[in-house]
Amino acid sequence: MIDISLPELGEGISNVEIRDVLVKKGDSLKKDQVILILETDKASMEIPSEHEGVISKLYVKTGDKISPKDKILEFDPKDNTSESDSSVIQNIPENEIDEIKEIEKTEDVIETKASLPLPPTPSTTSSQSHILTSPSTRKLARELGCDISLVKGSGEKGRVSREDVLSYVNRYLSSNPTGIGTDDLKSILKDEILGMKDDILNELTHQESKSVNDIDFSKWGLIETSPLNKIKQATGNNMTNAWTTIPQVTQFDNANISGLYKSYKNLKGKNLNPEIKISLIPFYIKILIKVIQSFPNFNSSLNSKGDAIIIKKYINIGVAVDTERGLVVPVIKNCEKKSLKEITIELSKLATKAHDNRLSMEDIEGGTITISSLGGIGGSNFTPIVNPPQVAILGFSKAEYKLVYEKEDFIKRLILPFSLTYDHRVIDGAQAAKFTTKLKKQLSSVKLIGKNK
Amino acid sequence: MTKRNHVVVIGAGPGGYAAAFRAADLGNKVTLIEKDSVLGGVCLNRGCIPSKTLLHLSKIIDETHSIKKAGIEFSGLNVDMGKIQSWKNRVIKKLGGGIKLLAKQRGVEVLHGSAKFISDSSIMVTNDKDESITNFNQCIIATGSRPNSLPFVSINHKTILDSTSVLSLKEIPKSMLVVGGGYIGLEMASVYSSLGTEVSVVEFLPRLLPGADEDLVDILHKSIKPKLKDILLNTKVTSVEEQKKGIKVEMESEGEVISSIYEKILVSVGRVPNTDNISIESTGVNIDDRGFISVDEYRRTNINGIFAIGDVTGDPMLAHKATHEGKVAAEVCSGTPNAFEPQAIPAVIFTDPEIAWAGKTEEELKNGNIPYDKAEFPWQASGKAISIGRTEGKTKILFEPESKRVIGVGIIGYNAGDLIGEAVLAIEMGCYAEDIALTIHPHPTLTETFSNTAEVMEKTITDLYIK
Repeated sequence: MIDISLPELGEGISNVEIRDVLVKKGDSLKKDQVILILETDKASMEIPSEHEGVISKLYVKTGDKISPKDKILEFDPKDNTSESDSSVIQNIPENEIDEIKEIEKTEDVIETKASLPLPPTPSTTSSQSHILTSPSTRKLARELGCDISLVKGSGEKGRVSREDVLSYVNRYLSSNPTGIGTDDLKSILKDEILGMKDDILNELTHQESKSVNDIDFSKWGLIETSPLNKIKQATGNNMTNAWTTIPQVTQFDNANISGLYKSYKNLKGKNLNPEIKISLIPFYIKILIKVIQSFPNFNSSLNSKGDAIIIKKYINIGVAVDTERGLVVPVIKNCEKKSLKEITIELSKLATKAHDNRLSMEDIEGGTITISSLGGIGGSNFTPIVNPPQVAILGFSKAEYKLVYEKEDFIKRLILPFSLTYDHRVIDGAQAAKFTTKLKKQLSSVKLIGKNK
Repeated sequence: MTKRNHVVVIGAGPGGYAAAFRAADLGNKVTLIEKDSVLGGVCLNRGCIPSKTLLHLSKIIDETHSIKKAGIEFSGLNVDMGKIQSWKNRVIKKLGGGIKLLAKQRGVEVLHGSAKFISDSSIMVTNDKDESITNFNQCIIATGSRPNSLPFVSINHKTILDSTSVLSLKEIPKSMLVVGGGYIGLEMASVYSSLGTEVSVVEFLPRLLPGADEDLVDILHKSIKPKLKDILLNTKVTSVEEQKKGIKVEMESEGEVISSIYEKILVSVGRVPNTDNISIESTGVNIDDRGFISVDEYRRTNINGIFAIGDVTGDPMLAHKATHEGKVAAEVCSGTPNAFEPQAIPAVIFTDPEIAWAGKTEEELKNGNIPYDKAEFPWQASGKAISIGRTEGKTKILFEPESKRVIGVGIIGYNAGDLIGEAVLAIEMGCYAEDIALTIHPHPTLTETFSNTAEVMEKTITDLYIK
């Protein structure tokens, strides 16, 4: 245990009032984190921590008078290695480890497979240290909705240039179904140079809807014009491209997930870690993998000439997440090698990062197929749009109890409507129907395993 | 006709008018509310501009004295305080007229009167003639600050002055006590001591200019000391009483009681935010216990659609900070992503010599136990400083230890305020010592001292010999 005391504040400054104590017992303390705010006659002063550790005792409270060398708090120093901000998993207390073991047990019900050790999760909070760049580049990053601390600078000593920001955003969006195409980004780059941003983007994004823009809607009543951010504008353009260039067909089906749902409820009930959100999607992913392995061309891309398909031997599943800023699609890599537990934890973390706008480039690139689930919201069936260069996307709707005629009787079953949209240049209708039929069978068969428990 | 977003800006100081103009340029309908009959706020009408106008005059007077040793002597000094005041007022009027024109050119509606919120989307403006209610989609609060006083002193603006009334004296006082050794107090002490007033400064803390680095303040202290009657540190004013002979002031220093009589006293003990007179409680905007409004990096308050910029949001209370914040708020209002994220905000004290700094001060780094490297260049080695007879100065750069990236700069000396701009750019761009040392600075100028200082760090300096 080590005490932190108040440093010298400058000549003659002592017996100063504490305006605010920003930490509490049990908090883990980071270096340079502000502990206290002091109030002198002239100004308020922030007192940062020079150490890292967990606070075990606080000696002061708001309103106290304090002088240099007085004790502020006692803390338990911790090993300051690079993993210091790592995932909750690595720092979980004993009882939570038990609970994770529970998850493993439940998972064994579905599939007996030794689970791999958890990979270390990269820190989601970037260091607050200085980012070497210029004010105009900081502003450009803001305009493109990009957190500059995530951009790797290509310059000397990691200096972030405008090009670094633009290529980061380009890479980010080209691996994102709602992203900007290279051409659009070039336009953004071009208008950056010409300083004609708005005009060009308007032309870019509203070419086809010009006639709509010309209508004066306020003739019929009050209207409000709410601008779309530049990325959203370009995103719309890319959606249009995906919709107009890919001949796509949607196939619908339903699956009885009564058994699967029981396994899910069972797992959810056992999970005591509030950091991890249990959802149905990891179950869908586990089952989808088996189906994809039987139909590898659903996990492919058409080459640029259109004369061959590139089949990927890895299955990276993108999961569409609805956030305040819009739709983002983080990708779970190598799902074919991961256990239900790993997928659950990874998805839960990616979703949190998505909501906090902290997804990195690595988190969203390399997807081979996408899942969009509206099950948490409602609706019976929908037609998702294929996310090029992928060739298929799955849409899961809200499951509802229905009476199903089975074994000469009507039985209450939980029915999940789902859809598959596919690129007809790569996949034909019969194959798609076989795919959905197999997926339906697999989703419905989980109940048998559930019984074993 | 489409309905435009209506942005109301309260306060036409350097933050408020910048916000209003930027918002108008971005296509919003803008109303600018100002309680004074003129635009420009404290900065233009009773702050930066008039004080610098007077300081310029006092600097010229001082220079005529100091060039005696070079062989130039003027006979007699004739100061016409009336003419000085009308010169100062002409400067203000010219700039104020400029702002008015800029508002007109942009179609910004200007309402003169005091503003009081009715709700989080409407405001009442009252003046002698009428009362009007304006609704807004977004509002930017830029009401600024006013001089603070001491509890037992009542400012009468005739003999007991604040930073506003001290700028408008019709006659040169024989004696003056400046209460508070901050930048306003010292700037006014400079003006009136040059005009012939016997000026004393009293400061409660053990040094002048708390916040500025001690090594810089020491140099200033030495150079202004001969011009002032007394500099009383560690001294507290305990009573102020108007008498026939003047103002009797009692002070206490380390248990000792001092009593003196002055013709005028200037109370310059900080500033308080103008948040107590706009019915801010009608909006639900949070203010802290000192009256400042808390805002985020986008200058948004806790209430949707209400922004706050400038002095009302707290230290540092500087016009150039407010201007930048105003533009950020206007852009965020208009849906353009921007944020207030400066790497450095420069501060200048326009005494003679001037003190200027940007980024981290040495004191901040020491208090925070942040390691740093330091390089200094004394102006005694600057050809320009010697040729103008102003060697009392130094340039200091603070670096991140390993990388030698510039993290703070402090300058004291003639025109330091004009030299600090380059330092702010260096910090914003993340310059290293070598970048500055390799940048050719013109000779002979005071700007050379900046690259010379970097050369000291790089050990490539030839204008000094350091073993």
